[in-house]
Amino acid sequence: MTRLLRWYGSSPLNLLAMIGSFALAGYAAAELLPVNPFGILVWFVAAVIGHDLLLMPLYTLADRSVMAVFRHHPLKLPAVPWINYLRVPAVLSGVLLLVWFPLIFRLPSHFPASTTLPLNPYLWHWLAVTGALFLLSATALALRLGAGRRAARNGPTPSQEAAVPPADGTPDHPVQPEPTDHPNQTPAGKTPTRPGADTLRDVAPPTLPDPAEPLNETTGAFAHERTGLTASVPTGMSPAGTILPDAELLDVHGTATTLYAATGAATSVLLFYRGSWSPYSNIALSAYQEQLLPQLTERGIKLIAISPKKPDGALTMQQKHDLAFTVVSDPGNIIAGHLGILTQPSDEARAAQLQLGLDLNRVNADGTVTLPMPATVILDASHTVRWIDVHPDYSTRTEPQQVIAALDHLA
Amino acid sequence: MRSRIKSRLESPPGPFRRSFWRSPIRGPWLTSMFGLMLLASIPVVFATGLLSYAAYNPDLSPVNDETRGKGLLGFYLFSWPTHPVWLYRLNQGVHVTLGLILVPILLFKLWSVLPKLFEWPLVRSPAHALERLSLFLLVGGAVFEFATGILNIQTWYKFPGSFYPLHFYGAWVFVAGFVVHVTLKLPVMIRALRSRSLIGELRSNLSRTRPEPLDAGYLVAVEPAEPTISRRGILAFAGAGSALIAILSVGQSLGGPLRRTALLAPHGQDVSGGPGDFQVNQTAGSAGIKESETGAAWRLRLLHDSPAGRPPVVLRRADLLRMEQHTASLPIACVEGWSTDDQAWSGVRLRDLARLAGVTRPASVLVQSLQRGGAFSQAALTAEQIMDSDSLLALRVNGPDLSPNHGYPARVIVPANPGVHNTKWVASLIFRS
Repeated sequence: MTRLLRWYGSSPLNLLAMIGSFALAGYAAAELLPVNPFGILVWFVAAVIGHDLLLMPLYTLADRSVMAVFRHHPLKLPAVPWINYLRVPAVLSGVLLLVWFPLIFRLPSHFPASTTLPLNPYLWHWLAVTGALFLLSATALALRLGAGRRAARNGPTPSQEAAVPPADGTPDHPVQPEPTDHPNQTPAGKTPTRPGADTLRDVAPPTLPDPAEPLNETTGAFAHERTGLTASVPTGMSPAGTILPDAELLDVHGTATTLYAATGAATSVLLFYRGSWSPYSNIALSAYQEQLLPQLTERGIKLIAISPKKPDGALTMQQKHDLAFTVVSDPGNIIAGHLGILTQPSDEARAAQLQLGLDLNRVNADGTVTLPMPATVILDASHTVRWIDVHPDYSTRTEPQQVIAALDHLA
Repeated sequence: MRSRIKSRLESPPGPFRRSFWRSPIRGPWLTSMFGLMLLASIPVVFATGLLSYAAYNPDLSPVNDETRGKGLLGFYLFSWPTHPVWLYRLNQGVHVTLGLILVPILLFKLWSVLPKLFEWPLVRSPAHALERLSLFLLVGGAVFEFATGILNIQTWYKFPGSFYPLHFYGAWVFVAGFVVHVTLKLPVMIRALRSRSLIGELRSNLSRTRPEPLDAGYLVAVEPAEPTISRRGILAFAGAGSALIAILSVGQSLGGPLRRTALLAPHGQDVSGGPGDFQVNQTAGSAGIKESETGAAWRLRLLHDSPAGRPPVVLRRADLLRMEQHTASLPIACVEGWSTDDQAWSGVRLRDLARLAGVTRPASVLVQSLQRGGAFSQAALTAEQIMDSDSLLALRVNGPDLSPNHGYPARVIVPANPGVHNTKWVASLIFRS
């Protein structure tokens, strides 16, 4: 009996419920089918396919096409989720059409004769309602954009300065920063790129100073910290040639893994980043994915991002950025510690972080505020450090071209 | 060797890969919210549907049963009451309007669970296979029921057969899938609803919208895209769809000045027959009623269906007008959900006509129309319906004589009766005792 249930895959109650359900449906079907067996079966199957394999793919395609068309159009898109101001009226109008298409398209031709009511108004009613919906939506969008502009004139509020970058509501940051072309240069003053050019980039790091805007007190603390960092050179850093010992890591799901398991017996590139709360990390990781990962994959080299963040935070990052490479958490900064690239935020910066609602004690897997300096390491198959590039100023990163050049050189 | 086995088990590309599904807001909590709305409403639609069927009194006479023998599924039938007089009006208004309102909720619910259709492996165990089959009943049944109902209220009869058996037995197939789905998923739904606070979700705007934690149920995206709408946003979206449909259709059931608000309901327009006129679903012309039949030559035949074989009582319209006249304020309510306000009907009580036919305690009456053919050219009424003091063979409405479209020379009007059973252009009444 137990074996039978194991084979069945669920409890006896499940089986009983199923049998009861199919008995009832079978009885009803036996009464129903003689009406028109073929027609009814076709209708039932069409009912399932009609939505799941026809209607749903069509509306998804429409939605994605609209997003893509506007994204690739040299049009200044508002930073508010404008797509919803199209989606809502379009879908509501579509649902009305789905329900009332026989009347709208005047299909029941006998209708006027049997009800004394004319058939023509329904199409006009539907068009009028559709027009009204789009008009309402346009008005709502205009009001929202107006409110956004007013807020921008009044300067960023502390909530907009949250360390976790908001996915919307940043109309006051039309300038999208990119990783810098040269290390040690702050991204401020970079060529502005088209907003909305890429969803990944839509995440504007609010702590980046906009040239047009004076720094407020909070961002000032970070700028001050970075200025101090640029000058400092990491001491006690492991030189190339160091063999990294295996270390226990957590993968995105919080499952235990190890450094050696993650790298395998092949050359790998390790990226040390501070955590997904850092807007600079977010931008750099998506840039690495686009510009570095394809070339590494071509060479059979693994890319592994390591941060002291808790695994749930790491997952958010992978989800948010749709990263196609391994993201792991190094709870005690063991590897970064071995490489000698650890640092702690200045007291001033830490106070500013806390003010923004970021408590590293809670975010980091080991409960400390220690962080790795952003760094890129090339590890060979025997886990020996072959190349290392450390950036004490966390607003700068190793450029993808530098990594490729180093790999070419090592090869 | 191992890698070969692995590749065989690997899902084919496209929707069968979990990574194909990118929505950052799909997840057990959101699906459960839509599920909860449907769980609260579908039973109401089902119950009003069963009551609607009972209102035809299908076990009184084969004439009343449009489902070619209801079999075991007519187990619950009872004699349909005549009071309150708005009972059928309310029942149909709720059944049709609530059904329409649920269309967006159903669509959003189906959208929220779509990745599960492509779950890989397609079948894990016999239990899983049966569950998927029951989902075929559930989804197929739901869409079938909504489609047949929605087409029927627009009188576009393109479904594969008569509406009544399709919608009635289809409902039982749907409910078979629905009950087993609720049984299996109720604990999952409760767990999911408890996993997040509703207030918290209602306070979470887009920038605070994060995917739900990965679930075993295949709903949460493993590689979610950036959210473009929040969870509260999509709930409001579905709600707006339902509200819009409600606003644009409920007027046809409320009547009065609100009728004109039902811009997209079949009976949202006022009829053009002047003051005192009201909605119809079958004109004299469309029923094939000729003027020659309803003029001076018209006679009402009262019969007593008994072995004694009494000759019929034959009455002219003038004879009926000389009998005791009664007035009753009653609505016309259609199975399609539209209805009219109370109309002032006046004419002869059915129980007086029964007595005239020699039946003091009638068991039922078969009302036959001048209309030839058609499912509702005749209808049987119960003893309770005949004996109600508001049940009339109406000769006038709102003052003047009935118009041809409202059943001139005489029509039946019975409180709380489905519109089609208030037979128009009556030719004969056959009483049974």
